[in-house]
Amino acid sequence: MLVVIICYFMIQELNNISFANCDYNISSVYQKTEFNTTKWVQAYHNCTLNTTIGLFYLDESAIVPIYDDFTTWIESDASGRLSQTSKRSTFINLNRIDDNIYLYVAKAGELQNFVATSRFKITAIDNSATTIRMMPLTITDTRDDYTDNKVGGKPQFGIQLRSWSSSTAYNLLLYETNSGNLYYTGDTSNRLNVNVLYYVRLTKSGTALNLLVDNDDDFSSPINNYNLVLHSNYNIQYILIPQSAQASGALSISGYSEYLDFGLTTGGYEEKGVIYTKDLLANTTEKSLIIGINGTAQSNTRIRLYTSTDNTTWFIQIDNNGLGQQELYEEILYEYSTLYVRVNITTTDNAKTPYLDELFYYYVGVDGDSGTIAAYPIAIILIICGSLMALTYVGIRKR
Amino acid sequence: MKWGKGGATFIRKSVFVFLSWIICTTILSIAYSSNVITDAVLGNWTIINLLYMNHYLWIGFWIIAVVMPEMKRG
Repeated sequence: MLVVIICYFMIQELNNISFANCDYNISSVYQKTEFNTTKWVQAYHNCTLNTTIGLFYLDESAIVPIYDDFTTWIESDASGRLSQTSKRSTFINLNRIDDNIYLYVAKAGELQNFVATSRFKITAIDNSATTIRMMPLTITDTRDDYTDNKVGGKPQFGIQLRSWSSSTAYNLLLYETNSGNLYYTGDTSNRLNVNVLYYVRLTKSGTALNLLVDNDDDFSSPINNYNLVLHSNYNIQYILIPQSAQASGALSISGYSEYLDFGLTTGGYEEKGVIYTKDLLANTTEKSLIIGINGTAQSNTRIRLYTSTDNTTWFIQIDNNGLGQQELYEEILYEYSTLYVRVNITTTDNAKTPYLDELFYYYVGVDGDSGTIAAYPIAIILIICGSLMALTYVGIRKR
Repeated sequence: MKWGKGGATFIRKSVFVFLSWIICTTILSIAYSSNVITDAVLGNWTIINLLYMNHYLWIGFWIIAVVMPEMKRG
């Protein structure tokens, strides 16, 4: 009888293991936050005395941008001006007269609307003339040098570098060529200096083209802020970094572009959404994390969850044309002490701006009175205690 | 109810079990503090849960291995 009573209490205890230390500390009110730029959201739990779970914005500095790998780009470089490392496209003694010198990659469908950032430095410049020298960045459908595209009536636009005689200062200007005509904008008196690293942000939204140049990457007080209205809402596929001018007058220039980030685009790729944390007290029977997408759907919407080990290997993905949800049960939650949640929206419809009322929500509930019995702790108990009990029993029998 | 040889056997066995329980608890505590048993291994348990369970098991063991034989022996 006593054994039965003891076993009863043991079973009760198994069913009443307190999860007080594993409860999740989440605000009792919805926390709604919009993010319009690339951000990582981190959800984590840690089953210790001060356990919390929730979604936390990482510092911007913790964001790992996705940079283009220039070693995968393709050279047109008969004169041997170009070289690349994974993050840097270098040009040495690129000459104004150089024909068909460029490094390119195809980004079909991504170049109609985009925000591209990179860093740019000129290390040496021949300052004997005031003229167009080269294009640090050009977007075009026809892979060619600047002059051939312009004369041939092939549309192109991007960033143009102009130099000044008797000065190593230069300008970065916005430009477009269309039907043989050159259009550009920029304050040519606001010049940049050799051997200074500049941060460049080129934004295209419809026909609106904007260029920001700054000394740092927050672009809060840009040195240059230029706008140009394009003559067409181009949807063209090649990006060239750099591109030779192929014009008369031999003038050399050296420098590089690096850390090109096309991570944030509208129409091609955007990360945007609303995050909710939900009151756990209202969901005490839930023991899972639910992520999903509500609201106005866009095609090819995606949510990915990443493991704690890195920000690139996702283990769960929701692709449901903009709507859907997936439930992650506690076994998964406990398997990964840190979850990175990244919301990726992609849409193939360039005429639309992705918009979702409720992109993202999740909630985690914990039933404080009925935990499941974890396998590992039971194994530990059985191995350690069982061994000692066996030894103890042998000792007892001898007495 | 007699306790063996005047209860001396029962007390000796009980002390023996108690010492084993102390050893087991110490092993678990040291294993946890030295990260041999990690939070990840414990999953949704805490070390407190583990120690509680340890205590209950030893109490059960004590009853089965010491108390009940003594009661049978009368």
